[in-house]
Amino acid sequence: MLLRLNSVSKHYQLGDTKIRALDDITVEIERGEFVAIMGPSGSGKSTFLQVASMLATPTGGEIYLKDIDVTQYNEVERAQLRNKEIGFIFQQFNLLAKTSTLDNVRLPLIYAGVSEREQKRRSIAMIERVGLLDRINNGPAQLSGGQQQRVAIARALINEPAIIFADEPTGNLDSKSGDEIMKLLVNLHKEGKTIIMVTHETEIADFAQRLITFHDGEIISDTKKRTKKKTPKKRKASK
Amino acid sequence: MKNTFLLAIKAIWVNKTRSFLTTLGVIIGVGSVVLLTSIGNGLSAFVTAEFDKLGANTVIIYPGDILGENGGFNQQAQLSAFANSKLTMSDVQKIQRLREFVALAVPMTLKSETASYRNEVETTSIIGTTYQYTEAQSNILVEKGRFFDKNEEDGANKVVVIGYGIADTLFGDIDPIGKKIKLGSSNYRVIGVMEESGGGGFGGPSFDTYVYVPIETAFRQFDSNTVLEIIAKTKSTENIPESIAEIEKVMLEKFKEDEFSVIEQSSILESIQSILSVLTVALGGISSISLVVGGIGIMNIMLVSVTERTREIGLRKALGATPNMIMFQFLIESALLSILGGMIGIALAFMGTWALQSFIPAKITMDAILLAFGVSTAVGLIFGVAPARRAANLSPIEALRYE
Repeated sequence: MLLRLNSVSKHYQLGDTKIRALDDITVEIERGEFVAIMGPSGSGKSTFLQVASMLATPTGGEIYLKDIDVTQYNEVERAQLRNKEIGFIFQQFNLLAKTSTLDNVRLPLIYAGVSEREQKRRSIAMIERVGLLDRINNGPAQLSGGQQQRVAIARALINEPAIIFADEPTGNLDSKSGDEIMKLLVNLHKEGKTIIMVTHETEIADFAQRLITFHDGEIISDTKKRTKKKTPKKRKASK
Repeated sequence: MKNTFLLAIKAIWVNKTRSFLTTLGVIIGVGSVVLLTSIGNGLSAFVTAEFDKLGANTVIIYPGDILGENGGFNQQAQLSAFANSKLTMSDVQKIQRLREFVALAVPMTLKSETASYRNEVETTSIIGTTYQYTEAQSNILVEKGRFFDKNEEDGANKVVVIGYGIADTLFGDIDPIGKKIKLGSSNYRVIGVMEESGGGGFGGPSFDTYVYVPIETAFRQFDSNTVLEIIAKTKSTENIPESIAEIEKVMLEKFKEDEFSVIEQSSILESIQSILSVLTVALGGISSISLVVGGIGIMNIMLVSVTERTREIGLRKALGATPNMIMFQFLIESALLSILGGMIGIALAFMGTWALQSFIPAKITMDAILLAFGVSTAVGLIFGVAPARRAANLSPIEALRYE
């Protein structure tokens, strides 16, 4: 089992009311799965992503990554864990401004303590993979939204993480760029990567082979699709 | 490590104007500290050089106990001691006889008198001394004519060498050499004019208003045989302490311990230098207040920078930066800002020193530069801690959500 959440809760105290952002969630995710997380806003899907990706600590329960209880980790260990095992793709891309594609992509390698030469070699290979070699020295301001998200994907993949967390990866993109990004994610999944993606669009969720739906901090449905996966081309044709 | 530095340089460079304005406090602080200490050091070096011109191996024998309890001069005591001086030419000769130690002993006596030429009258001080006076006071030179010689001295001739100021007032454009002037009621022949020596130095009277006559002549004119002070030149700078001891021994044969003082030029120099160094430290201390203000400016802008870059910090943390790495990044940035300001400040101080050189002697020392550099680094680090800690403690989720 790659990732296991065992009755995980995240409760906030907001004034007098106690907010149960996550309430007693138990879920297992296996290596190579492509999971879509859906639910209305405030349902807890974002909190789930934060807790599962070690950005936030749960207030109850345990999280096992590769059978290790990571809820016991301190802040430094969690930072190192995120660096090595987790790749992030954000809705806002979150690239460093006025920083080249190369320097954005290699950011996780800097914190991993990889040598300068190795940083460059691996980053260039990864940038080539997302098809942006001709934009290697451009800053985010000179890239389109789709290109920026591809840089972010290259950055997420650079340390060969165990899981990729994507938070509304197409949320800030037009449908054409969105399709390109989904194609990339689908290909990554085919290569065996584990992807957990939060979205509110059903069409985007359809690319995944498992759909978990949240409501009021609880999982209300968890379905694995048996149907053959759609490809982006088909989706576009059906539109 | 290298990356952190590059990152900090980039962050400073991206906000060039802001970085410059931020460092202004440190620039002014460091600049003024270095400049003021350089002026202090320069003045001190200047004073030392002036004293060296007088001759570092000069020892002066005064009547009475004119050294105050703390080693400084007691002016009151000095005045009464001069009035009651018991020094005579025989004491000068005794000191002169210490040939092993003393190269030269020159007596001086002094009295205020009016000097007049035709209708021009001016108050002057008559200095009675020997023909060796110009040797003992190597900073005083004859500009025109000559100083009196041994024959004129032995014969108590009525010849006079006049100061530049007296020559100017009494004669104007006329050549004074060979003219007769009246000192009091006696006629003297002018044989020389001294070089202009400028102001009286540290508040004392100017040499320009003095006139010099042979000491025997002065004794007759003043109707007194007392000598007011004896200027002795020792053979070398090294044997000053022994020379003083020897002179004191000779003097004690005739005088009581509190009836004379032997003062070495360098002790005067030391007290002036100690005053200057206190002044330098005080001025440097005052200007270092602006360094603190500069540090607060840096802290302020670093706090703004942390707020502005909240998302960046969140992202870095999400991607694996530990709190210490973030803290280090911001500390390096504030330290670099401050060091940059320090370097500009030192450069400005150099320019200021160069510009001042024609008015005041100023000298930048390595000590001042190292001190300024160290202090500005410390300021950057100390005032960088609060912003860096804030950055390090940001929660990655809150930071990523920050708009």
